[in-house]
Amino acid sequence: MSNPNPAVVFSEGPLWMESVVSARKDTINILQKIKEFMDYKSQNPLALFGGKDTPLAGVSGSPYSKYLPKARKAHLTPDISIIYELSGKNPTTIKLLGVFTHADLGTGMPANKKRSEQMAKRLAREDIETFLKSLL
Amino acid sequence: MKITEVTQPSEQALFEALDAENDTGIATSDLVKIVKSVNGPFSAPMSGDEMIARLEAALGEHV
Repeated sequence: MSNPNPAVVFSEGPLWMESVVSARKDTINILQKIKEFMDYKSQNPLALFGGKDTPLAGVSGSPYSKYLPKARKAHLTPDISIIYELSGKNPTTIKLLGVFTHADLGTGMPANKKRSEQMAKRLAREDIETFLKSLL
Repeated sequence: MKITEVTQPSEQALFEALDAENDTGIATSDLVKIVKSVNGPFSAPMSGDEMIARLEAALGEHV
């Protein structure tokens, strides 16, 4: 039976569902991995999910540090990370931005800074500015 | 001012911000609609069980 007043709740961003459906095409167990992440964070949202639960911003000056300074990424598989943000207390809200590969994020080897910039803007929903400018 | 007024500007504030620089020929009220539709909000908070149920339904599988 689910807790009617959970200390940790989840909220999905505009890209969340689309990204999960996309990841599911190549990674059959992605839903199981997401469930493990959510179960783990429900117990303690500040606990690190594995050894690679880190700020998404990475190095200073990266697009993610500019557009998503609070976002974190945790590896669900060696190539797929869940991107999320924490906010508030009692309850803590975990904002789920999406699940993406290194290639999606532009953080593979070698890094793709242009790709990172595009994805950072999409996740930060700052593409609205580009969209509006296209109307002018 | 409440913090939510900063992070979630009211429709009136959004209208005024856009109207101040709107020289597009498009009605500001229409620009407000565009911004609101594209800049979609996060969903209402839900429990982990509810979120997983949503994903299971979308993917047609059970974990």
